[in-house]
Amino acid sequence: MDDQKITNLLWQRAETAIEALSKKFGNRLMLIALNILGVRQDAEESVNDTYLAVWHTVPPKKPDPLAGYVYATGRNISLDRLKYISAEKRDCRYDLSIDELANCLPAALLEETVEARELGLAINRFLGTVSADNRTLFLRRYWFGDSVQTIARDLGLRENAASVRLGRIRMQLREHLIKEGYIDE
Amino acid sequence: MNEKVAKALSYVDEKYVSAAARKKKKKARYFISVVAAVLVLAILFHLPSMPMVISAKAVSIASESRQMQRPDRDDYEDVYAWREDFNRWEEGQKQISNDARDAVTALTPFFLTGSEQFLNTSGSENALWSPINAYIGLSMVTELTDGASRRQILDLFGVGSIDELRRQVGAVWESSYNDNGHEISALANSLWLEEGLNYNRDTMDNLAYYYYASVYRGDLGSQKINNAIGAWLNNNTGGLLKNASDNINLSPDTILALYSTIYFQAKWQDQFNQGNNTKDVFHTPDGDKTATFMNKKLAQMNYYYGDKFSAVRLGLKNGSSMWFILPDEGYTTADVLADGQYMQMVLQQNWENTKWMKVNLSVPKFDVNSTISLKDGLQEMGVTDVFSNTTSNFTEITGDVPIYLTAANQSVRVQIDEEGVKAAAYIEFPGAGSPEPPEEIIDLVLDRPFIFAITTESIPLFIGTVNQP
Repeated sequence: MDDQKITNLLWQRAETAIEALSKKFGNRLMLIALNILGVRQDAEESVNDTYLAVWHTVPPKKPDPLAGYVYATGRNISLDRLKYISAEKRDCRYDLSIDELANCLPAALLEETVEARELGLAINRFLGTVSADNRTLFLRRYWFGDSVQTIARDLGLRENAASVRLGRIRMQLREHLIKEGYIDE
Repeated sequence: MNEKVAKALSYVDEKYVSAAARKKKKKARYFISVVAAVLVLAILFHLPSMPMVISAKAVSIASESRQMQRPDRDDYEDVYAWREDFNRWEEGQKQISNDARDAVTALTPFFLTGSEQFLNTSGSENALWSPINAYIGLSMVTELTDGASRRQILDLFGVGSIDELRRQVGAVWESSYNDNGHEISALANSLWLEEGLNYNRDTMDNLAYYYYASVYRGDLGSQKINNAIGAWLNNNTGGLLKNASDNINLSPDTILALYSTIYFQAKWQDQFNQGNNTKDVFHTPDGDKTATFMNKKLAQMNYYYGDKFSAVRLGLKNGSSMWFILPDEGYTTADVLADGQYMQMVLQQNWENTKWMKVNLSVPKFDVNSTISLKDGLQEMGVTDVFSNTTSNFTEITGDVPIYLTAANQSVRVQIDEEGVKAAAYIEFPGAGSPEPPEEIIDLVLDRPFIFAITTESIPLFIGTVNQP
């Protein structure tokens, strides 16, 4: 079912909309939640909460693309949930990818005076300057939290090539941020 | 987890997220047919005593390739906007190609003399060098130097001024740089400065801009910096020179080190069929040994010949080429290198001795590496002052102390194998206008020491002699 039809179902308040959401976005949502939470039960709850959140916000919203909106909602719900549950015994690979990204950022951007929003918008501007392929690579790793191995498999790259490219994109991002005035001193 | 960074990513445009979530059609698994890499030109500057230092910081970060990316139709909603960008991209490619051709003409004497100097080993070892890598590394040295130290290198590269050199480097870099994740020809440079050294900021900026170099500060000689350099090298050579990069060991009195790398990989345009491989004898200078040969039977291709050699050129999918040059019976690789005729052919400068033929080609599979010192050869070629502790002039990097080059080493590794994408093999039938099918058949069996060259846009990336496949 295409995204427009699912949005229409949500606007019509048809309960089949939830099933359609689950069919279309369920697998990817589950992966995002698992990457962040590391525990299946928590991930499942987070995914269910996501369907509910989308149900309650569409309408009045009419997101286009719907996919980006659903995934962003799911990611935020999983990140919120992570704050409230114990981090013990978690196989949480998202930590690793976020730290990998944080390590390449100029120190000035990690200071308290810079808001997450400002940093996010700077990263977004950077993403507007790179090729579609590199944007996908970057987001799969740092937004979705997928492992390099998974990304390489999905995109038909060698694992090493994916790592090297990610390293280069991080360097480009760093250069971009420094050019925007976030000096690393 | 860094919560701020995690939260910041929530501000990424949902359109980007949506596009990234689409699973791409899986591409056929990629087999490497040619891989070559270099870890090069570790130029060390020594002083008797060193200031003690604390940490490693980035001083300036490399500028990425300024080549416009090929506009992808999928990224555009408006077809006219795409067409306009595409035309601009095509124009840019033409310009780069013309500039690179001029650069190659100016650099021909350097490529020729360098190959003779660095590959002419009297022993039975393999010898390899990367002309483009040595060229870019040495070009960076001109930015650090002044007076005769700079002049000697400019003369070697056939340019009159540093501005001219910068333009030349830009053209060579842009026409060789290619990284789409499959076909890679990636160059990278870095300069490592001892903490506490007063350096010229303008020089650093020039290195970052014109030579795409990253500049770092730290306690050179410490384990931490050795590791950081190793990681940088690994990252830029696809891990191919891991043995060398894991053993970086700068002496504590080093105050400046320069690293330049090139990493290259590409598939054959027409792969070798593994089923046609044979085990046969290769006549090394030390005696016969058995090697695995990759074979092509009756392959239609251009056959090249000179006064002392025969050669073929195999195309690679990124538009690069690999040349195999076999000295005629009675001549050695050294004879061919000294004669220099082969370079005219490799650089595609009006070479007429070629014929479209059916070739039975036999090439040994190889994985060869070498580490050579460029110092003596460069001195022979007139670059002497930078190596002298009395006449060197490095005032463009620092006026603090007199410094000079102590070493210039180049490590190269080249691997070739037969594989390509098996599922995608196809037979091409030449249409109208193609050359007549050849009537003559020739055997080219590389079962004794030979020369190879890998070129992009006629720029020699790697040249080597294989004595021991």
